[in-house]
Amino acid sequence: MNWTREQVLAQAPDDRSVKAAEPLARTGKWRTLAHNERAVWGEIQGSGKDPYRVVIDLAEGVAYNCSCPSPKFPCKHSLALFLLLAGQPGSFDTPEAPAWVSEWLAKRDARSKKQQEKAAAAVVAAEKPAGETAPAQPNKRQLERHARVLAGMDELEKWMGDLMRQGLASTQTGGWNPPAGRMIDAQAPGLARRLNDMNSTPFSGEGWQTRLVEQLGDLQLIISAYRRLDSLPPEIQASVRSQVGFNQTQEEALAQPPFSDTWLALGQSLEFEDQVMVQRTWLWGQKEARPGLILAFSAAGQPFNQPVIPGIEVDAEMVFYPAALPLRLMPKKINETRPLGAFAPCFSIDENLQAWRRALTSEPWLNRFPFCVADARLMPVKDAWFVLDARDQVLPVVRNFAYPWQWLAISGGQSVPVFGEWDGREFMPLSLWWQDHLVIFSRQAGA
Amino acid sequence: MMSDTLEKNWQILVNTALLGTERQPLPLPEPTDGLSSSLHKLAGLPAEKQNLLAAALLGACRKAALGVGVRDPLDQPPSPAPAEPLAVCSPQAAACLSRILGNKWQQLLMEYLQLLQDHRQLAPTRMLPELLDQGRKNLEVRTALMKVIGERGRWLAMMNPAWDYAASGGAAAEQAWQTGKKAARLQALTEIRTLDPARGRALLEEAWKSEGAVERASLLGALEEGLNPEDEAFLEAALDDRSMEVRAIAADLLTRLPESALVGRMQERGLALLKFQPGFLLVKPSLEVILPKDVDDAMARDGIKKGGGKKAEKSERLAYIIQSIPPRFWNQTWKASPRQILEAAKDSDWFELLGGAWTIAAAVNKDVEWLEELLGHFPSGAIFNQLPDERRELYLLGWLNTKNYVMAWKVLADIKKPLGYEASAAVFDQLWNLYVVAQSTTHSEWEANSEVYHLCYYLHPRVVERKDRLTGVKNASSSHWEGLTEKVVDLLSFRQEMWTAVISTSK
Repeated sequence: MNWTREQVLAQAPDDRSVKAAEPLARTGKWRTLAHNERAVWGEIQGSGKDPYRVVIDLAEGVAYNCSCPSPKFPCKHSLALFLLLAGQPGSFDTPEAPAWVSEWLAKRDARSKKQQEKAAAAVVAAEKPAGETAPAQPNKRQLERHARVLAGMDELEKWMGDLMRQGLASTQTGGWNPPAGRMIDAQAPGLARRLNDMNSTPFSGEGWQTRLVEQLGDLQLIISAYRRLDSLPPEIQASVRSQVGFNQTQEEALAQPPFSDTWLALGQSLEFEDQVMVQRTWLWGQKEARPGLILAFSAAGQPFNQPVIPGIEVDAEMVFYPAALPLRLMPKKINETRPLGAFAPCFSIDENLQAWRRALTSEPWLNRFPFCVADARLMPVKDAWFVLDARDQVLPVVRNFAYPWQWLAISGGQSVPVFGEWDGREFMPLSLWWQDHLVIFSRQAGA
Repeated sequence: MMSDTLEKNWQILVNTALLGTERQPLPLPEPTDGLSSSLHKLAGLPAEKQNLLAAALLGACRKAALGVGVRDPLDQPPSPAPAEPLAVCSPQAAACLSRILGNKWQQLLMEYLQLLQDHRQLAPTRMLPELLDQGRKNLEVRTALMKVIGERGRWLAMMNPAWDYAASGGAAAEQAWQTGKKAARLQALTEIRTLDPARGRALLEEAWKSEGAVERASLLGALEEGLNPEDEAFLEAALDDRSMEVRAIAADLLTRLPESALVGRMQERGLALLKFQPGFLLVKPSLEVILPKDVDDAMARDGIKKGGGKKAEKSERLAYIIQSIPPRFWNQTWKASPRQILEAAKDSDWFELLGGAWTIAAAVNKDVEWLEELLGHFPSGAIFNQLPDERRELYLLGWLNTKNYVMAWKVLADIKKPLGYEASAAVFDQLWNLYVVAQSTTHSEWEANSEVYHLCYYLHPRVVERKDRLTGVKNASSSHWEGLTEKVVDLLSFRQEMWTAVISTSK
């Protein structure tokens, strides 16, 4: 397939790596450059005696291997090789893969086979309690956690009650930290995160009072729902549990029916949560005509494990994690990867909002939802930006959207299909479709 | 739109939550519709509980009831950008720009913009915002940018006050001239002069009387941009200005107008200072120099410094007068060629001084014959850079072919204009020899490295195809040399890539 420079740069762990890779991305620097249908490889002289050997497996997503000692992943050599592939695919030979390439690929195959077997076993296990019968008996540890969460919620409700009696005006800076800490102890990190976020609400500008009451309402809704968890349908149970902070396991996802589809990767957003970078990659299933997202997490600057990057489409089998409104996806098997050939279907702002409202009825805590706006134009109003559609309806753009001028420069003020994230209040544009290409909003001076 | 009752109930709830239920419990509505009956069901619970549950209930309803906003008729989206007559550069060229803006190749931004302009291509639309930001910081970039941002760039600039310099031909500059601060006005006037010299002069004349002496001097300097004979009357008048600094600047500018009355007066004065004797049979030609005596008022008015009878001051006056006179004047006066004149002057004690003054005069008057003769006597980059490309390269090839690397390096160390392929290849092949000379003329290896590297910005990038010549150098064992050649090849490879990306798509 054809890779673009942009897609390659999106893989870099940081700007420094790009800077280091750039001078190495010249054919003259490489002793060998080769590829076959599945992988590319090359040898480059580094500071050591033997040249470094670099392989990139492109069969399922992108995987790198380099013999250099760099802790960065992918390292500069891998990036440079990838950049060369994007820039000058013609300079790669097509010999038989040498042993060091084929051995690594074989090792990868063996590993992924093991994972598939494990997943298959999980599916069998999940399907065992055949049919309509009650879910598997929770084990002792689960019961203990359930009790701890309930006890924590009792305290939290009491604390919130005190707050309501005294009034929100009485809250002090950092006042939400003690209950947040308590929720960590109670093993309800989802609630802890919400409480932490509320620390900053009083400083979020006009209308903060409304936002704080909304946040309290959300918390109360989760607590009330969790208290009567047993009476809820299983998929809503799953949503409530994940709001409280129970992690969903891959096994839970794998027990769901798989969807074989062409998934279009339309955009990616990054957010810092609890000292962890959360990356959301938004997909659109072409056949199923439904959105999905892949979540990836990274702590302490570690690279994301990203099987799908924006600007490509994959023929893949994926499963949704169980939820009242299934959105989060797990790739099960990626068959083919191509540059994105089409955009997702787009709708008016009103239609997008309708979809959002429908989604809320199943998942009232939903806080990110993909919008595909047709005929979108960017409009300045005072010192803010709005998306305007063909029906003269508007959508406020988030304040920290960094690329309004890039949007205008590319579109020249013409209407374009635009993709982005809606958080219930504001829209974060992530990409647009222009002259049959996906343009991802990003800093251009990449290298 | 959100239902009014929902919003009303919500506002009441927010107020209660702020005040605290101790002071004011939440008033529950009578059950008249679905919403109010749900709220009514909270009756009997503790007041704080009522508040929290109402927040959950109303909050969820409000989210789900969020309506769509409609454009205020007063808000208008930008009207579409006008059509673009020129083509935008290739994606490969855009990728090069992204690397230039990414800092490593920042030094190549001007060359890149010039390349685009030479091949009638426009900068990649997506990167216009970053380019326009660059132009804010740097006047040189700004001027080059104006030629390659196209209609799209001007359209963008009109919407962003930070880029108004690029908005439309000179309108922003006129605005800055009228209302800006000191530095901004000088910059605006310079910009207006590049577009329309007469307009710039007219603006300055208009404001002249109301400006202070310091401002007059600094603004007058801006006339250097687009200087032309029509400026003479204004400059001649400025010779009578109250401020000495203004007078000096006006005189200096007038010396650059060969037809000006001031230059004529300088010629008169020059005749009294230099006496030429043509050679005859065995008598060599000679040049006698008579140092200028006292400075009268007329001389002072023309910018010749008064006071001081010391030799140094007298010679300074001599240099000033000679550099104000087009060298061709001497050819006509003495019926002698530049070569003959320089031969005659060679033995004079004043040869160095005259050479410097003639070089300035020849450069101002673009007198190639004089420049070439002067180059023979005073080899320097300053003269070399003034020559037309063809002549420049001929000299360079001559020195390199005769292994006169000292001479070649003397002019190359100071190079200001790019060389053609043939001359570049000759320089590139002898880079080691030039490096050896550079090491002997600079203070440190580091300095020699940076000067040789700098030279490679001016070589035709196709010479990188000859990079084997660098590694094949015998005796070149210096580790510095190895590092230098690696950097040089890197630079030339990237420039070659950039040229190819622009040129291959323009055909």
